[in-house]
Amino acid sequence: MRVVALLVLLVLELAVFASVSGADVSTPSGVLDYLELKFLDLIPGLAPVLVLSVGMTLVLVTAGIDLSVGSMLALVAAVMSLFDGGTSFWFTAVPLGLVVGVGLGLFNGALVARLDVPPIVATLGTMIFFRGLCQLVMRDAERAPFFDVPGYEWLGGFSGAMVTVGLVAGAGGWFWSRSRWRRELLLVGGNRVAARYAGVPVDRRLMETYAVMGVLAWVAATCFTARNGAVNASTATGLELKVIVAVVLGGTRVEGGRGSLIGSVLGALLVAVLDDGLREAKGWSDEHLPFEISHFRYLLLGLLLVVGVWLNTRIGRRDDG
Amino acid sequence: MLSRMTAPVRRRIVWLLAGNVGLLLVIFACLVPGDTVPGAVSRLGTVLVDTPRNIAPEMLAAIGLTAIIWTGAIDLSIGSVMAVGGAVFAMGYSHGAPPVVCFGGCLLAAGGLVAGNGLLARWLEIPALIVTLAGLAAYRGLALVLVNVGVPGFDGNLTVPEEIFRVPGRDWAGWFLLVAVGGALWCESFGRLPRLWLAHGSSPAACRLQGLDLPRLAISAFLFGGFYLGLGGVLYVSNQQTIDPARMALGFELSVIAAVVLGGTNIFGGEGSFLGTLLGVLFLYLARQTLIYAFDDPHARQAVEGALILGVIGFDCVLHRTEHRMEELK
Repeated sequence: MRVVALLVLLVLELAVFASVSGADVSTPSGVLDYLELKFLDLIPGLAPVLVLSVGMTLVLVTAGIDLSVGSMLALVAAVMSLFDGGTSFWFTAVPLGLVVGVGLGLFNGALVARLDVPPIVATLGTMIFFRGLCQLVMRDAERAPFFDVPGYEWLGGFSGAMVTVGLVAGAGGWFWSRSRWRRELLLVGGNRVAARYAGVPVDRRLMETYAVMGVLAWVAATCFTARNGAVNASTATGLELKVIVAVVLGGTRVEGGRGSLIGSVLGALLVAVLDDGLREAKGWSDEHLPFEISHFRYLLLGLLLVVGVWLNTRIGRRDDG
Repeated sequence: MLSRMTAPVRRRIVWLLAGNVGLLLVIFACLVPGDTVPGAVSRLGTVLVDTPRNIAPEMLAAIGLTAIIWTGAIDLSIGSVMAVGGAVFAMGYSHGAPPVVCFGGCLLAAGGLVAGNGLLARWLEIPALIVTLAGLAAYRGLALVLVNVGVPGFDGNLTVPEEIFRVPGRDWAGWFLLVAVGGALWCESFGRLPRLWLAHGSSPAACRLQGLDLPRLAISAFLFGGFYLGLGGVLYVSNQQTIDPARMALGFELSVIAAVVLGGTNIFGGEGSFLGTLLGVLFLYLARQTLIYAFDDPHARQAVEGALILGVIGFDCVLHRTEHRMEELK
């Protein structure tokens, strides 16, 4: 039901923005051309959000949250940018990026699982801390060694992004639908005390979840740098909210215990089309609105988050009762 | 007042007093090598004289947030709320409104949004955490839309050169702080509401059995918090020479939360004191000043400050860990 509702919303969104952007969608071939152009442009830029939304679904399912994903992505990309472009980049910067990503994820996991810091406070803190580290690494510079790496640019194209997202979502989906790990995560999020009594190693599962988030931050950083080619200290600022809104719209409950990967992917598409549509509608808004439409994006993201959580809570109560 | 506090909060206050004195000594030690001893004493005196003005917005916001956290809620949107206050101020200023109207608008906007967060959380029956996380982005967007619509020819920031608009934040901040802090401490010592907020955060079930109206209590905490945050917003805005809603008070929420937690307030609610919060804000301010004197590299400061805040919050959570687990198992 949720998936159908999201698909309908996506179609509505595309229709509204197509008419506002002035694209010719009066014939079926015009619609197909519009969609082809739209998705060819959209998917590579959307890949980091899609990848991170898979990880965020896992984190939210455990009744956690990770506000540091944007800073993590930026820090991993910053560390990778310290290396010179060339074939050796694949054997030095890329594995080091993975190590940094896992380390940052484990750091978050340790704060949440070992020190019992509430996830929102812990990751709000690491959001600032990781961004501070990023500034320390990058200073005021912008580094761009990525396009000098042979084969790296392919990851930022449509096919590369599709393969990466497909692998992450496919592996995640397969694991999600079959593993015992998933059941244990749902139990941890649904009722932590019951999970402890049932013998689930709660702290370990939480550490693992945040470590997976770190790995996915590394994948997202790779997609991001392959697409944009450069990184600076303010890279990916505000990305966390987009990811959270996407996941919540997809039907994952912030209280934990319930989540859907396919919903998160559709939610991410919905947010991306909205974001892109508002950018495309700039010409229209300059004529018709007294303010810049890009500022309206923050308002809409906040509104979508509240509406998504409210809907999930209502649906959850109906299902429970 | 001290008799109403729990033993851990009292211990924290003693620890913070010692910590603040220690930080002052460290600042003095950093000043001495580049100066004579009387010169270092004079510079330390300047740091102390500037302290009330510099910490007033954060301290007032921290008092407001303490009340909210006592009830078991939180407000993550306070930085963006300040930006909306700044945007409303800018709108008034650009239309030639007198200072009292500009500051009044700022106070009402900031206070109203915080109180609105409480109402929205109650009305939608979703955690205040989510409402205010959404507010973190939405209010920043609202501030930008407001200056776009309400400030003619706005190009990213608005400079306020008139001295009269800077008087509250520069010349009166200390007095504002004295009255507001005095009021909060008096309220904590003799008022009934702060005790009920603590009771709400400590055990909502027990409060329900006692016949207390929990939603109304939570709203009253948000109203109190909104008033103090609004006052903090007025001082923050009037201390700025330029109004830039896109960057204004970015990350403000984290340093305020850290100060509140450092002051002994349990992040899960039900425990804490205003006095502890005041000392927590002072400790973080002095720690920041120490970083300025100890680190020449400005790029390192955010990372060190972030690590310090995380360390403080982590330490607090470790202290409450056993208690929290026992509560969970009950």
